[in-house]
Amino acid sequence: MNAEVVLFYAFAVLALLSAGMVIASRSPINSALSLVATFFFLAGTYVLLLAHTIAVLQVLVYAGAIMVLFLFVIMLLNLTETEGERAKVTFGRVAGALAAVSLFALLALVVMGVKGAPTAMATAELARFGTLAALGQTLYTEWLLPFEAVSLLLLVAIVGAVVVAKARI
Amino acid sequence: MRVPSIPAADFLPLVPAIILLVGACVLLMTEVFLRSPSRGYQAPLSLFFTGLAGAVSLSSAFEPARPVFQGFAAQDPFSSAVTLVVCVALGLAVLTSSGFLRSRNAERGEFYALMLFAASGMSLLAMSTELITLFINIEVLSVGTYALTSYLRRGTRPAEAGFKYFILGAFSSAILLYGAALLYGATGSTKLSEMAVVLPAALAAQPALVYAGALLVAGGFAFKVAAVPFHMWTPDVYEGAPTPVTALMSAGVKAAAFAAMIRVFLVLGKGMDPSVPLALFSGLAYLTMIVGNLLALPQRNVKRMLAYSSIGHAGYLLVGVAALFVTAEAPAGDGFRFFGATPLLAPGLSEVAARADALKGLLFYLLAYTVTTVGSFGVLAALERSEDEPKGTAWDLDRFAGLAQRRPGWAFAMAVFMLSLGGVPPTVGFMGKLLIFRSAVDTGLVGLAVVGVLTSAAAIYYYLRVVVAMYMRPAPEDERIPVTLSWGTELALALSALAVVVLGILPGTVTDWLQQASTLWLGQ
Amino acid sequence: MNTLQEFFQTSPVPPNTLAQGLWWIIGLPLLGAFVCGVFGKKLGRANVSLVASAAVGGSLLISLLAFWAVNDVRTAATSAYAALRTPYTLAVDSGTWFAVGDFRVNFGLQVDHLTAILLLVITGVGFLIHVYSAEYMSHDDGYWRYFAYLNLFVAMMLTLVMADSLVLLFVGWEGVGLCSYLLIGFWYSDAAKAWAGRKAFITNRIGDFAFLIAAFLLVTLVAAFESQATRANFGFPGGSPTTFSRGLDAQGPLHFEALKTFSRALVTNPTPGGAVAAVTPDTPIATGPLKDFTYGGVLTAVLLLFLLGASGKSAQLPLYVWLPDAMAGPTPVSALIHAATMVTAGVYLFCRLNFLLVFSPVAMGTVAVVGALTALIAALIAFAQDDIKKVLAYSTVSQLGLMFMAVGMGVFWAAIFHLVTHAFFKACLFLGAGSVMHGNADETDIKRLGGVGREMKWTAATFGVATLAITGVLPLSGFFSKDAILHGIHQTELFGLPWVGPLVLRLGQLVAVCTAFYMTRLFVLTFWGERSPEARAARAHESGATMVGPLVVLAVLSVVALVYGLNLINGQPVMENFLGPVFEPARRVVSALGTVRVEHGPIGVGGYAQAWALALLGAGAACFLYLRFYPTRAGQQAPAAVAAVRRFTQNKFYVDELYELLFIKPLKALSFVLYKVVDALLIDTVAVRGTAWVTTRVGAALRYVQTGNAQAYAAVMALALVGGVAYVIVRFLTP
Repeated sequence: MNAEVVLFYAFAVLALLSAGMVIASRSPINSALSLVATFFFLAGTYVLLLAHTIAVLQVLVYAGAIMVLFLFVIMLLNLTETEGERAKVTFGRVAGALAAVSLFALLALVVMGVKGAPTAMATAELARFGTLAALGQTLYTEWLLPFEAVSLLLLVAIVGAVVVAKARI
Repeated sequence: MRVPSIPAADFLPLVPAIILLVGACVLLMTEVFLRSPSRGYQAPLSLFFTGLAGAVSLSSAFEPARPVFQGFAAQDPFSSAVTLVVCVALGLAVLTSSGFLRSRNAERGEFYALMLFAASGMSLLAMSTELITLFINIEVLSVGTYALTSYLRRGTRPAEAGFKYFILGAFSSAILLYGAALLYGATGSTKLSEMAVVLPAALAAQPALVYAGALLVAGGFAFKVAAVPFHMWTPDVYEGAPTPVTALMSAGVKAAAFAAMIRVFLVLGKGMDPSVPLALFSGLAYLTMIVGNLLALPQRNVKRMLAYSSIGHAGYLLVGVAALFVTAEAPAGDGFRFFGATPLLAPGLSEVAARADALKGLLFYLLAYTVTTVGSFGVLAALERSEDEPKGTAWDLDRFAGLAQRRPGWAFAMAVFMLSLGGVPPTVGFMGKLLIFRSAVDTGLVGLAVVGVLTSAAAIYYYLRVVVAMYMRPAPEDERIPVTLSWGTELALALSALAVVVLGILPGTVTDWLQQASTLWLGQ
Repeated sequence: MNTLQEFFQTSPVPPNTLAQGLWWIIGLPLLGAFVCGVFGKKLGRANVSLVASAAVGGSLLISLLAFWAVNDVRTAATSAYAALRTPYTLAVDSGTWFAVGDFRVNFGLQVDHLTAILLLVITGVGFLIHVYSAEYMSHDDGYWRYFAYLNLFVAMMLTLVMADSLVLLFVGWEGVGLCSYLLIGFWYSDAAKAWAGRKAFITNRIGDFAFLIAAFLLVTLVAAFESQATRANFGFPGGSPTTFSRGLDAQGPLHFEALKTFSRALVTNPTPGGAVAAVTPDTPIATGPLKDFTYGGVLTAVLLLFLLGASGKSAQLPLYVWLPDAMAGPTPVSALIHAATMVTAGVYLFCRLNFLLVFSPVAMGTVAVVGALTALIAALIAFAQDDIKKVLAYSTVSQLGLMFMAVGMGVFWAAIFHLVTHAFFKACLFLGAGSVMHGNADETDIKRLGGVGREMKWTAATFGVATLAITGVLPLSGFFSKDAILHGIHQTELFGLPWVGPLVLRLGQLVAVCTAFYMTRLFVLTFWGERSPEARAARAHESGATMVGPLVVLAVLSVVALVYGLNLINGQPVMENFLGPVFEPARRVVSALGTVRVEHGPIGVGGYAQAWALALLGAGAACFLYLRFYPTRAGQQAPAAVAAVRRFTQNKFYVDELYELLFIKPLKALSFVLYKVVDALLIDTVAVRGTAWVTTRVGAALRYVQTGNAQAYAAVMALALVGGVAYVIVRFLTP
């Protein structure tokens, strides 16, 4: 077992744990902070995958900018721990939990059933892989259409958010 | 590194979507620069862009299929036909919107802009041939409709509907994405054209990965088309959304999602054991037809009834989708057996011809369903009074009582729509069902056709109940027509009723055209 | 005589020109319906009735021209299915209507002798009824709706008879059903009347379903025949497999010419020494979903399904129950739709498909027996009905039964003859009844009328003539048509079913007696005797000229129509000679297969005397009972047995209640159970099956399916995916 594998498992387990905390925590701030942690651990996994740029963007954009905004909003709204009764065990929740767990388990089974060895990459390719230059070149040439579609998506999302957030119509 | 160049001609297929996009931006700008209190120009403006986009897609309908943007999208008759259906749905929805919004004092450029944005997403979705592009475009149309769903925030219902739609939609998107990831893992590509090449080898090596991926992708699509058991959001969201938005959702979103689903599975089906997609879609079709129609039966709320009916109609469309996967030879080995025998093509029918027939049926049904359902939601929109909404009686069957005396034109149009939804000749709904069931029988899917006919016979009951209420019940005492008469509503109802009848009596031209388009697309 | 013949055989308009104008026969009433329906409210009463009547009047004029043209020796239609020309037929084909796969339907009309006669009846009687309605509906607020529906009905009925394919015929078939539904429920504010409309609609849908299945079977049958038949099958002049296939490609399998060619090819016998025909009625089908059934067997099934369809529309057993309730509509509607035209659609259908019907003695026998039983039961129920329109309604059912008897025994021309005379006298009776109601404050109970004849002389006289006609008194048309049926049945024997003829004949004679009885009773109680003390209006008033005029015309017509029954041409009755070309294909099949044996012979004086005696017997008995017997015993209690029989009859033999018990209640229960089961099942499969914990909470789970809880919705979706992925794993990952 080399260091890479150890790191991978560490990141993976921690990411899962903190993701679990996001749902389980009763305080919104704790949830948001757990989400930040999740993003960090995911960034770690990206690094292990040699996707350096994505990892950096993940930390900068998600963990940095977006989550800070989240926290601001939560604090501005002054959301505190929700009082009242603990979540009841209802039929729906049990069924949902069961479904989610078994779906995860089954999919894990499928993925673990994958046979075959990892493909090796040529050194020249490896040098370019995941760099900002390579990413930019791919994004603006071959992946032009999805890239433009994403910008459309962002525009729609902004307009939609404004409409939903606007005063009563 | 190879730097691909994108020729300018690659942008041509995007023109309808770009027109819609430009229209949306123009409408957004009008809110900024034209601050006049009267916004009567907005509906005609949106209509202009819609018509332009529709005309462009019609003009390119017979161009031979070709991949554009390095195989991320494709220009073909199929995408043009779907874009056209979307434009029809959008145009009619815009027409009904103007009166609806004005009577609520809620006419804004954003509303039309979001509609146009969503429609451009639909148009792009219809031509996407790469899983990530496809996913993004699904999100474009979804985000647009999420926002539109909670556009009117009176009471808790629209907000609840919008939120519910958003959460569940995100869930289904995640499923779709997961499926796409598994498929990528198995084939090493997200482009459908490349996947088609690698798929046989991938299936031999990793069958479970491919099938699980395909299943999850199908689940994601099933949510968008409201197939059972992914349908449960439909009644709540349809009821909560502003009625013209519901119309657009039930027609346009459905058409685009079906288009994408057909495109993806026609590729995935090529390498697979054909009995798997067949079983998948037949199973979905059975469930959807039966459950959708059964749940619609007890509804007294017409809007909810139409929501359930839209589930039922998704079931009929799924029959057509299932017919796409019947092959001439029996699958080797333990092929999936449905009701004892694996369906086979009728002798003397080539696979391409059968598929073209099924595809023609599907496209015609989409068009038929679009004009009919948008029309019936139009009547609903014209009838509902905003003060009834909190009470939840805005769409009660009683609102239709005696409509024939008060508004004979609307009552007649609604009767035409109801008969068409029920599949009664001589309406377009009947022709659509005829085409779909006929290709189901031709491909040996007799069980599906029989269940389809039986459920449509049962459905006539709840459609006729509306007609009976309109023509045979006295109007309630406190009745008054809520909406200030709007030319948009009247025009939309007249156009869609006319289309329902004319296409029902003379479907020849359109079916010939769709036949040509389908053959052109599949025969390549 | 020759000059007359020549005059009729030279059409003033060239047949080919006229064929192009056939659309106008349907188009004018359709236009009228549009104008009345859309602009009716603005046009005003007088204009609406004028537009509506003029539309039908114009249609009548073109129909007259068409009637003239089909007698023209130059008139002939080319068949697409064989190199043949069908004489005395006008046809126009307007190209593809729709094509689904290799199944094609064209828009086309045809007028042959059969259609021409019906055209005249529909537009003629229709025109009179429009004129009559102008006054009858003058006080109604919905007059414009009424005339729009009525015009639409005429257009649909014309479509039905002019259609050149079963598909277009079905459009008309559904269209008249829709109009009938709209007009029965015309006064929808009355719940009972609205309900009657729905009853008619639903009963008809059952029949329509059978019709559709029959049509689908026919399509399959013709397709199978096309693939299986050889040259020898087409051994008649102009026939060849390629021509037949080309015709199918051009005009589709449900065109009547296609079915005619199919029937002819099916019975073509091999020429001596020539090739043996590949397909006969006993040949098993080689391909398609009907594999291994014989052609004849499938045809019998098709015909029996058509019988179910026809009994829905034409109110035969077991689907006749809607017609008496249909009297809820305005009276002119009852006269036009539920007496003269729409209800005869079933008779028309079988006459149109005569060449198929004669393939199967079993189907023919069934049609005849169904007709005879309907005729008898309806006549018996009519005995004790007190509502003037109900009596007429049951009488219509009974007379339609007579027509079905004739059709079933293969005496097609007599059925059409009776259809025509019945249209005249029954329309006259209904309009007369309407006039009585109009003049007596809408009273329909004959027990509360009486003595109306003194005040309403014209109505009484015309009603009397029509009563004599339906009773079958000698010089009137009803006598000739009824006798033509009974005589035809007497001469006919179905192959393998020798008992059907005599049985049907005896039942028919019994029906004749009953008809005479209840019609006389109706007339006597309404128009003779003293005015009932319970009458709503003290004095009746005669209706105006626009109502009396049609009555007189119809009364005259019900006398004059007797011309059709006289043996004037070639020793045959005029109607039989006239319809000869239409039923020629059936004759060809019969002579090849021997399914029906006919002994020709003229009607003897004895036969006439017998028929007349039967009519007089019934009428005499009624006169005696209601003029002499009952009035002297007024106020006395009837014997218990008589009262019981009367109650039983009055309640229509409890058929409605029986249906309620047998079909409607179980159906309701079944749908309830199904709903529960499916619902419960749904939850069962969706939720975790089989655990005791769930079963105790099924109640909660029931609500759970559609609670509005988004988490639950997501759970259901996830569960469905779990199932799918589990399947994938089981199938592909287990070694």
